[in-house]
Amino acid sequence: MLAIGIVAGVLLLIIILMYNSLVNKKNQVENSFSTIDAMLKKRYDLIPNLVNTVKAFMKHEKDLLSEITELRTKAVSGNLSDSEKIDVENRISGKMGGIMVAVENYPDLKSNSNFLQLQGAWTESEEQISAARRAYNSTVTDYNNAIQMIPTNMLASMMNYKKKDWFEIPNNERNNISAKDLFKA
Amino acid sequence: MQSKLTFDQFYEKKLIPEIEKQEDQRKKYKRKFLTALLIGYIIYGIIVVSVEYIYFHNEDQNFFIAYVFCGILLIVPYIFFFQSFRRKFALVYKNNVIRKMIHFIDNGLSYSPTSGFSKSQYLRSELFKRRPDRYKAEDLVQGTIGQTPICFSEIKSEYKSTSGSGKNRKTQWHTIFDGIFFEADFNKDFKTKTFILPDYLERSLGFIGKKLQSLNVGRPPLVKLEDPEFEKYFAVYGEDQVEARYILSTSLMQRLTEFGKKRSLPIYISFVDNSIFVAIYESKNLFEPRIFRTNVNKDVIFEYFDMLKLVTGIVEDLNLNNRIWAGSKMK
Repeated sequence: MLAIGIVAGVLLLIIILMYNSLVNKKNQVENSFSTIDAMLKKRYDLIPNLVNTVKAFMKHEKDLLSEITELRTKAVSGNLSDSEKIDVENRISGKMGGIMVAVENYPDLKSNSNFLQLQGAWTESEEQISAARRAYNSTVTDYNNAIQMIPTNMLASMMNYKKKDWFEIPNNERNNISAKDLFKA
Repeated sequence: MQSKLTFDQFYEKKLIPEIEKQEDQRKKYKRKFLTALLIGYIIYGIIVVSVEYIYFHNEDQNFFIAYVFCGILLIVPYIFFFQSFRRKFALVYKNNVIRKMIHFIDNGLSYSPTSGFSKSQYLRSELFKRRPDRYKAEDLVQGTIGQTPICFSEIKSEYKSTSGSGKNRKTQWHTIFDGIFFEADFNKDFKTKTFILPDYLERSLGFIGKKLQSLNVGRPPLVKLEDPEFEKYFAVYGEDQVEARYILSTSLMQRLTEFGKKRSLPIYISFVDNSIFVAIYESKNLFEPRIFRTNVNKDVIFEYFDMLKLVTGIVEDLNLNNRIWAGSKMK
């Protein structure tokens, strides 16, 4: 009787530990996704400043600038699903990448101290977003491993935990936000 | 940064004449020291023989302990004079030879043979958890490389352990760190602390090693990074998972892996207060001239040059001069 009790106790303890570990991993995924959100908000604040600064110099990029402003308005509206949000963010990154490349054609803008400062802040913001995405992907890997590996997968399926997607961006967009391409000296 | 080829020319033209100037002084001292040592031993031998002769008939007398004691007493002044000369000679050598080498590597650097990395700076890095009971630092190099303020020096930190009690009480000194300690202003602004330690566990034990790493007591949580090559060499601990990744960009991870491969001895790195600290183990006492052998030795000088290049090269290797971020100045 005592032996059965001990075995049941140990089993219960294992189940509790597995349950807590799964919940912890799921929460970590959500927490790191919200970190990306916080980083993105920082980026939204930069966009109007950048757009206003470059507007005065750029003669042929008016459409690009208004598209960026529209995308920003959409992003801050807060009515987007996760996948829509990712899509808008990727488009903003792509368009901003276009602006940074276009800067090459405007020597006055390239040497404008206000723009240089904003460009630095933009790079920093991009790096922080990239770090947050990497952190998010790492938590997703941990979470996906836990819900797919034996024995936690059984408990995960009972808890209806589903596999999460990594934060991936299309290759062409990824090229656009690479710092190397953005800021050719 | 100067290449080995140009250093070769610099060595022939500037360093050899400087070292040769000091060679006369060194040889003179060596002759003097050895003559004095010989005279000392002759006097000691005469005393021993005389004492044995006088008391030859007295079998009860045992002078062995007295001879040993006198022998030790005789050595003391030699050690004292040797150390005093070594200190003076080393200072001249360092001021004339090592300083020239450092200026050759980068004109923006200054060198002070008697100063060192402060203990508070060393503690601020939090690279080694144990507080040292004995701390020695010398050969301080500081200045800027490009736009990056840096400083480094030789450091030896030790802690004391005692065992037994009363007459059996024994004190032992254990090395915490012995080598070159480097600090540079990091080009990114960060608020939390991140540590990069050599990874023995994962390399030797694989998955179990990784599990054990996450239990490293006294360090912030483990940061699992996506570069498998980097993960083979280093284990990263960070207070903030995102900030650790912000500091350790994919390119910096590659650069650190390359840097780690250059050395067989372990490298410890920390990011604290907007500074990067690098501790490179090196058991040899660098930049010290030799007294009983010639200092006109290309291998020794080239070894120093390699070490200086490795340390000052951190700025280039880790791309610290890329200052597009809002990194703050070194405190």
